Amino acid sequence: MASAGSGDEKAAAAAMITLISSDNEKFEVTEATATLSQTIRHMIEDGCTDGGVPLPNVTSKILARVIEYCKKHATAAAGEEGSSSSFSDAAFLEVDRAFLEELEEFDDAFLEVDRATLFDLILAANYLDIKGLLNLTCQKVADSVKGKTPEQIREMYNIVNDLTPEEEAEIRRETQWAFE
Amino acid sequence: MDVMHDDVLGLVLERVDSHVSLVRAAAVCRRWRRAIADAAFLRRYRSLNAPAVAGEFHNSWCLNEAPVLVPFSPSMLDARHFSLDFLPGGAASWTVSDSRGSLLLLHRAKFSEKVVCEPLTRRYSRIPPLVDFDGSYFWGSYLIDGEADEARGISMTNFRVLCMFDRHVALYSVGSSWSKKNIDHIVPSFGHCCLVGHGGGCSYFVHGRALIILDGSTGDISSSELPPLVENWDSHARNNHDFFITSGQDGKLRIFTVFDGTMKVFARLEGGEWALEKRVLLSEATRGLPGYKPSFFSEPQYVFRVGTGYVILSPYIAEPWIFSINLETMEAAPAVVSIPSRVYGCELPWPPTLHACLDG
Repeated sequence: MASAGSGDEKAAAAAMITLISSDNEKFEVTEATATLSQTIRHMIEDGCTDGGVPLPNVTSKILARVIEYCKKHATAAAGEEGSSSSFSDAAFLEVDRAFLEELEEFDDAFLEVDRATLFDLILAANYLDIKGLLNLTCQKVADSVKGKTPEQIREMYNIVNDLTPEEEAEIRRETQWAFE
Repeated sequence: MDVMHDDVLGLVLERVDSHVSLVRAAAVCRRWRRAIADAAFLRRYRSLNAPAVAGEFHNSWCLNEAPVLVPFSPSMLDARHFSLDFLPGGAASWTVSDSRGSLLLLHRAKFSEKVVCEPLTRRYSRIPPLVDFDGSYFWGSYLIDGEADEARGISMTNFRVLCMFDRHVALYSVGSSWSKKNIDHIVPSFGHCCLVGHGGGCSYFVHGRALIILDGSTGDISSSELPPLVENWDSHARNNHDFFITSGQDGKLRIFTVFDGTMKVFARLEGGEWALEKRVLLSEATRGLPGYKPSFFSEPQYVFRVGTGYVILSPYIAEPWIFSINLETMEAAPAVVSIPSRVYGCELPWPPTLHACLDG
C-alpha cells in the first residue's frame, strides 16, 4: 500500500498542466507548481483543466513571473515536507536555514520590478489566489507608504488628489497629530 | 494605482503597520479615505495590528510639575503632541491616576476634581463630583471600557470611570451619572486590599490569600484564591508588598515575588492555576554587575518599577544600587530610575477620527 501510495504521489507531482495567458501564450507547468494557486487547485479538483487553463486576466509577461515565483516556492514546500518528516538533526536544519535564506533572497530580487509590474502581480496573485505572492507584493507596496506624507504617496503612485484645499485642511484638523 | 480594486487596496492598506502612516494614507484621496474609514476594514486592521503604544506617562515627584510622556519611539510621534496644557488651569495642577487606551484619568485637589482626557486630540471631559457616598473611604479610581454590544474599546464618547470605596464601587458612564454597586460579598473591605499590579487590561489587588481582579473592559470585580507563593505564607500575608503582578513579553500574566533574596516568577496555566515558572537568586543574577556586593542581598529589596516583562529594583541601602531583571531570561542589567514606580501607558486613538469628507 505504502509503495503504491508514493508511486501515485510521484505520478501526481509529475502531471503537467497547461496555463494559457490572456494573449494566448501557453505555459507547461507541473501540478505541484500550479497548485500554489488555490484557484487552479480547485479547477484541478473539479477536473476542468483538460485542454489547458485559460487565464484571461493575466498577460504572458506577468504569468511568466508568477510561474517563476511558484516554481521556486513549490520546490521550497516540497523540501520542507521532506526534511521535517524524515530528518531532524542539526545538519538538515542547517540545510533548511540556508534554503530559507536563499528563498528570502529570491523574494527580494523578485520584487525588484517597476510599479506597474508590481500592481499587475498583485492583481494576478489575487485572481489566482496565491497567498504567499499576494502577501509579498502587498507588503512591498504597504512598506513604501510607511513614513510618507499624502503628497509623497500621490506622487509615487500617480494618484489624482480629488480633495479640495478646504477638505484637506478639515482632514488635517481632525487628526492633526499625524501630520506634524 | 487606479487599477487596484477596492479589495486589493484593502489588502495593501491593512499591511501598513504604523497607525500614523495609516491616518496619513487616509488623506491621499477620497477612495483611500473611504477604504480606511470603513468599519469592517478598521476591525480587520485592528485584528492584524496590535494597538500602537506611544509611550508612558508618569507623574512628577515635584509639586506643581505637569505629568509628562516618555515616548517609546521618538521617531513615531513627537512628545509635544502629548502635552496636557489644554487641561483646565494648566497641566501642572493635575495628577494621572489611570490610563486606558488613548485616554488618561487625572485628578487634583485631593481627588475632588477629576477629568478624563485624550492628549493627542486635546479633548477633555469633566467627571461630575461624587455626592452622597456616606463619607466612606476612597481607595482609587480606574478607567473602564465603554459599555458596548461588541468589544469597541475605550474612547472619549464611551468611557467609564470606576471609584473604589470600602464596601462598594461607584461607576460613572460618560454622559450619564454615578451609580453605586455593593461589592462586600466579593471583598469584605477595600481598605485592607493592596494594589499589586496591572496586566492584560485588568488591575489586581490582594486581600489575605484572595486575589481581587478588576476587569478593565467590563468593570466587573471578582476574586480567586492565590496559591502559597512563599513559604510561611500566612505569616507574610499582612505584608503584600512582597509580590507583584505584570504582563510578560508574551502578554500573559505573571506574578513575581521578591523574598529572602530570591525572585520567583509564576505563570498562569490554561486551567487558571498558578505554577512556578522561573526562580533566581538575586545575589547570583547580579554578580557580574559593576559595584556588586554580596552584602546587598542580606537586605530586603525595594521594587522601583514593574513594567511589561521586567522589574526594576534595588536593595534597601542608603545609596540605591539599581538593577533590572528580565522576567523571561531572569538576567540582570544595570538600570536607571529617575521617575516614580507607576507608569501609565498611552496608546494612539483607535479607531482614528475619520469623519471629514466621506460623503459623495
